[in-house]
Amino acid sequence: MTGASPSERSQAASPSPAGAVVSHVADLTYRGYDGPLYARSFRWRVVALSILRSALRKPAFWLLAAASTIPHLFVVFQVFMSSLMPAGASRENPFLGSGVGSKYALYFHQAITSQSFFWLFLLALLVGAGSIAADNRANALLVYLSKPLTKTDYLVGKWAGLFATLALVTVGPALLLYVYCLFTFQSEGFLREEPLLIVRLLGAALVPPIVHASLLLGFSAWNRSPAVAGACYAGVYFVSFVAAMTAWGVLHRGDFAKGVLVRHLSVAGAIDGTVQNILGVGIRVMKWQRRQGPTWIELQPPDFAVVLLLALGLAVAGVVAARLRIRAVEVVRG
Amino acid sequence: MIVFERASRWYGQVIGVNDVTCHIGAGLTALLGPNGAGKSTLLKLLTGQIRPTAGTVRVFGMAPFANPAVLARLGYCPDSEALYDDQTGEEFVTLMASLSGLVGQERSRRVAASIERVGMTPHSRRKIGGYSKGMRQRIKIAQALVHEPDLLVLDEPLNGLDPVARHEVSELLRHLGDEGRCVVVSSHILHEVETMTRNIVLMYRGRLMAQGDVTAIRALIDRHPHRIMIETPDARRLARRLLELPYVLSARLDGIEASSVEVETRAPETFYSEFPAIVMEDNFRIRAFHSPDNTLEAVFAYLVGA
Amino acid sequence: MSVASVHNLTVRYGTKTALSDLTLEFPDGCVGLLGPNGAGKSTLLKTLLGFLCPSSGSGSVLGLDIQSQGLEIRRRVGLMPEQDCHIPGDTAVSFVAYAGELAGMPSRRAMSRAHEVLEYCGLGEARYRNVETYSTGMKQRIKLAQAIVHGPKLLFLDEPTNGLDPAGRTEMLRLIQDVSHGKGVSVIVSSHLLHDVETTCDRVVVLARGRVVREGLVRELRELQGRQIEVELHLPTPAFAERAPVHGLEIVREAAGRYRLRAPDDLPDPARAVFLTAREVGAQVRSLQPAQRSLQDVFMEAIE
Repeated sequence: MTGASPSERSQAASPSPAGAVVSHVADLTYRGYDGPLYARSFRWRVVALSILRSALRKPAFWLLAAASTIPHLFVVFQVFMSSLMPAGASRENPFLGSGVGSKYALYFHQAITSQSFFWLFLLALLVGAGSIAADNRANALLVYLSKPLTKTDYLVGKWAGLFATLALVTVGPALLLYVYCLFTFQSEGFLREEPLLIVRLLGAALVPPIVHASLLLGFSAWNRSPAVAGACYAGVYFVSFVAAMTAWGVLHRGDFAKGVLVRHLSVAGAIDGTVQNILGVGIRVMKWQRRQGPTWIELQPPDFAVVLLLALGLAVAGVVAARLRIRAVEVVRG
Repeated sequence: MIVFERASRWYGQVIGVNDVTCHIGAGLTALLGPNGAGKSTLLKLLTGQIRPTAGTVRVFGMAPFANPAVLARLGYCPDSEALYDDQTGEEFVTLMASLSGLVGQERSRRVAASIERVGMTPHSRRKIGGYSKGMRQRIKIAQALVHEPDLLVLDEPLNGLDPVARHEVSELLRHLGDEGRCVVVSSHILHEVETMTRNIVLMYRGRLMAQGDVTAIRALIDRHPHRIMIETPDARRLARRLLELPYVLSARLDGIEASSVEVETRAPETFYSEFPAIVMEDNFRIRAFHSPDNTLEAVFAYLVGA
Repeated sequence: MSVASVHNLTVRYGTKTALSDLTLEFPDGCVGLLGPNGAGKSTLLKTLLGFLCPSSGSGSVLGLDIQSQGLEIRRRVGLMPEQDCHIPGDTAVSFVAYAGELAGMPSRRAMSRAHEVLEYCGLGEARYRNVETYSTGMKQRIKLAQAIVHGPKLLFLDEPTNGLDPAGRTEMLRLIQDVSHGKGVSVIVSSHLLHDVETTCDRVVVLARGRVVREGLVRELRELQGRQIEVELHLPTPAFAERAPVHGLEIVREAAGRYRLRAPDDLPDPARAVFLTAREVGAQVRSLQPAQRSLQDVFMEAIE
């Protein structure tokens, strides 16, 4: 902006015949804003939308989202294959639905859990690792909190944005799968057998986003670098998973079916356990024995109360950790 | 002490400094220029952080790049704020002193003296992490001074300091220059630079634009005639009178109710000599007169075309 | 008309008492907030914005109580912080528009207003570039832009000219001057660069050790007792100092060709007296101006 601004003269041409043009020079200098300002409750939605927008802008997001429908596509493949098999084919074939509980619920469980374990986890890293970490690095909190926003608004907005982004990816394909199954199995009493399946499905589909979003928010808040935050979460995620699996394998060598709870004492396990319980399924694992060869052991779902508590506890811990760390101004001590 | 001989430095295709030739001797020299002019590249060449891609740089007669002999006599206060947050101020300056080869009693004495000189003695036992911006700045200056260098290079040394500290540090730098050391200060605050020294080096777009005393430089810029602003209740009459003079190019009144007139001339010497006589002869009442041109800010603006 | 005021405000910062029993009113217009480091300037700004809770006392900004109506205050106030800050994401326009939305503007209005404000702040085509590629000068302008996007009635500017080169500084000061005069916006500038404050602000408040030690109009604070003149000669001439009293002028101070003289009230034309003296000693007068105390001197005296 250089030099002087055009002055605010708005001169009509002197007594002019009808139809003459009125000349004026606009004042393009600063003017105040006197338009509407929304009420406070709107702010967290702005924050949430910005997370969603920035996620949707990344090509990697779309790639991962597409890839994360692979488990669902695999289920479709299974359904297709099973329709080709002669009626009454045994359930021993591990690729054609296995485990305890209704066949359909099992399909959904498989889709949701495999998606969550790997693809959703990656997506969460992509979208969530930088959610607060990048703000820390850029000192953005100073901007946020100098607007009519409280720390709670900020946190709720971030969480909602993360949750919404991830929920889109879990619920969308799950619903599409449900519709597919509905059309395929309608004649076989899909709706009649389990009318509430849709409700349970939605519930189950929302568990992974809740846990991933909350935990990642916590890790992100405690770091200045999105890469480090993501790496920390990945570390915790995988190490806890491996540790739980190993502990279960070691402690219950003899009888896998017992002590199934130990297997779920990890982030991934808590999610899986809760989903299993909501859908009312158990899974089958293969046990290889030297003399007898492979056998299938059915595992009941783990204790609902415990895994639910664990999953919710992790979520709450993540959010609380984030809340504790958000600070607009550095307090100079001493 | 510092000699640049056709020194140039590129970063890929981007020019840092282009064909700079200059000599900087003892005393306080100010390095000026808009952002992106090449000041930081010049300072990096000086302090031996990078080598010129063409031409030579000599400090104390030697090339400064990775040259301990030069670096031992050089004190550098960069503008970056990154310091070791978990050291105390005293530990930090001691570390820097050790890096310059000081040990034992001598080192402790010099560290204490240097910290005292920048006024950080009451805070030297606190961790740098708890320092304010001004304190960090002062501790940086302390570490640059601790080994009594012959050449001091400071990049924006007054950044973050409050007015009292600014005054103290400018005085300190001025004294260091008067002592015979070579002090190079890079700063954007022209008003303060003016109080410290008249000797400047002006960079613009990688080229050396001007060097030397501010007034002498002003005299050399003949693209812009000298402006002199005269405040008098009788501005119109004075303007008419001054326009009769052959060396006055223009006279501008500041408004309908003229209370001051600004004249332009290419012969300031003549103007100043004859002006009092004219005033007294024709009985003008002068409230004030000065040349808005003669400040460092005006010279800078003329040269850089801002 | 005061835009912000505090009464008996005490703020503790960790173990330190940053402000003690401070009572102060900020009038409208452009006010400079000065003080040495540790005087409590930033604490005061943070408290007025609601970042810090006072231990005792009260305060109000634009008629709203700072302790209970912090959010309302932040709707009407803009802060340009000293530290580098931006919201990571991308371009300047999206950043400023986002800041506007956070303040409650509908998103369309926020975008159009962002463009308007960025134009005003002097960011042309550069506004479509990623904020992270910006130079210091541009970052300062964006900080100003995000502070004014929601049309606040009061602006807090913390070291607005920090890191700017001379051209950028002039431009920023011009913007501040423009915004604070005639546009219905009051500005409080906190800065260590007294020269900048001198040229931009109408009034100043000097804080030291948590209390107000000086306040008033810049013009009045700089006035000197008696008629004093600052004269600069082309070359230092000792004879000038000796000859001046003959024409009724008293030497107050001299340094390297610059003389501060006092003229008695009954001397009708001090300039004439100076010219006569100079002619008699063969010196050439280069400038003659009514002497004023610099804000630097006012400041130094105030915090003693």
